[in-house]
Amino acid sequence: MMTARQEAFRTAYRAQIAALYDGIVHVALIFLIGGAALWYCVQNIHAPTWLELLVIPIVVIFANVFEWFLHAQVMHRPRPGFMGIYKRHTLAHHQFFTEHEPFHDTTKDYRIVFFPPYAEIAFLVMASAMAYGVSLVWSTNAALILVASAAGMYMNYEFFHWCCHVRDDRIIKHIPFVNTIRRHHIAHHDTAIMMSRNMNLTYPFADWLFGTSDVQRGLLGTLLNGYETRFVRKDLPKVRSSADVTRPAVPAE
Amino acid sequence: MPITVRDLKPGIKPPPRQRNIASLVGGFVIAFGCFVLWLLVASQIVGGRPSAAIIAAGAAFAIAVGVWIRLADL
Amino acid sequence: MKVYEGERGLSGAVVTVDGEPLPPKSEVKVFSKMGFEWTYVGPGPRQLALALLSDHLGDDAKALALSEPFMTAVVAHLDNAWRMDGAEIDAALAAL
Repeated sequence: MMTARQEAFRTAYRAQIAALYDGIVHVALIFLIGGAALWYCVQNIHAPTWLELLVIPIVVIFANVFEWFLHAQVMHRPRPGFMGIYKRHTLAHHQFFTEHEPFHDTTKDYRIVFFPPYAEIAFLVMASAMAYGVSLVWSTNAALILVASAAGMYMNYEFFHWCCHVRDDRIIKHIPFVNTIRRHHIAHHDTAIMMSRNMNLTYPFADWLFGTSDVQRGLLGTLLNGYETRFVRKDLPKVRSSADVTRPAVPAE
Repeated sequence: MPITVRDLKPGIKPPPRQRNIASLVGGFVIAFGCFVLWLLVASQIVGGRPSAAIIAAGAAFAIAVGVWIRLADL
Repeated sequence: MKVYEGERGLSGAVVTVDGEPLPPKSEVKVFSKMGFEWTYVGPGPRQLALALLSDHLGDDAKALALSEPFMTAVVAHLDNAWRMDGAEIDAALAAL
């Protein structure tokens, strides 16, 4: 249930969205750019060795830790030079979506669900720079696998994040990993823990590794937790001095 | 535009929309990125250097995307 | 009694005292150049703890000494939008 404050924020935020913005075009661009990069790289990989294929899990793990770090230390902390990201995330995304009402209503709301496409270009440029180094010291195949994996992980991130904020979960709740990240991320939208816990958006591996998950389980249990709440830590903080006086009252029987 | 509890009082309207500088920079970045990707994909499909028409189409597409990013303030 | 309020919004994390911006007290100590923040332990919340206590107690040295435990016990748990008055701050200080 939405509070009046959240509703007021949504109204104000939506009033700021440009008339020419279109959520479907936004999403199409993200997946066109990522898909084109992935397709081009895959087309140019020739007879990769097992060692070169090992680049895939390495990139997956690296991207997972990078996503955790960026979320925890940049998106949730005011840092010089990165205030735009912090404002867009902590001061907008987390006011628009709360643990009480974490779902978007229309495709116009994609403006605050998905990153702007230049974030993807920046990510691909970073991956390409690393790949160039890999191509110099190792092989072109390994470099192409690196960029393809990075593009795949970026699209994975955006898709999973959308799955967290879409209202209808009839299918999602049955899909392993997706159901896990959905519960994990909606819990992250609780103000009391949003600055410190559940920072992964794909697979909660880094949250498990660094002890920032809100569930107390082993690695497999954390990754495949689904909607299960039995393992949620009992020592999680609660917010105090809330001025959100318009929080929903307990509905009458 | 702080959405404070006090702002919840009726009669207070949000300030007029202003385009962010990020969408201007982003427009150029995305246009350039799209153009490069277009060239790479086109060269892969045609199996060599793409024709001038394909390159021009790529440039037009990239400019259109960049302009849309700015107009949509994305 | 003064009323302190804070709220995260599109233009930043805003903190007021009786409706006016709360001075950050950077002349006493600069913990953060990036302004106030809360709901975690760090430089922004530390600056907010100092500013709140300095304004409430009127004693910069005492405020500075108490800012760390006050941040951990109170500021690190504030909601997106919060409101405190002097009595609540006194009660929180007494409980430290």
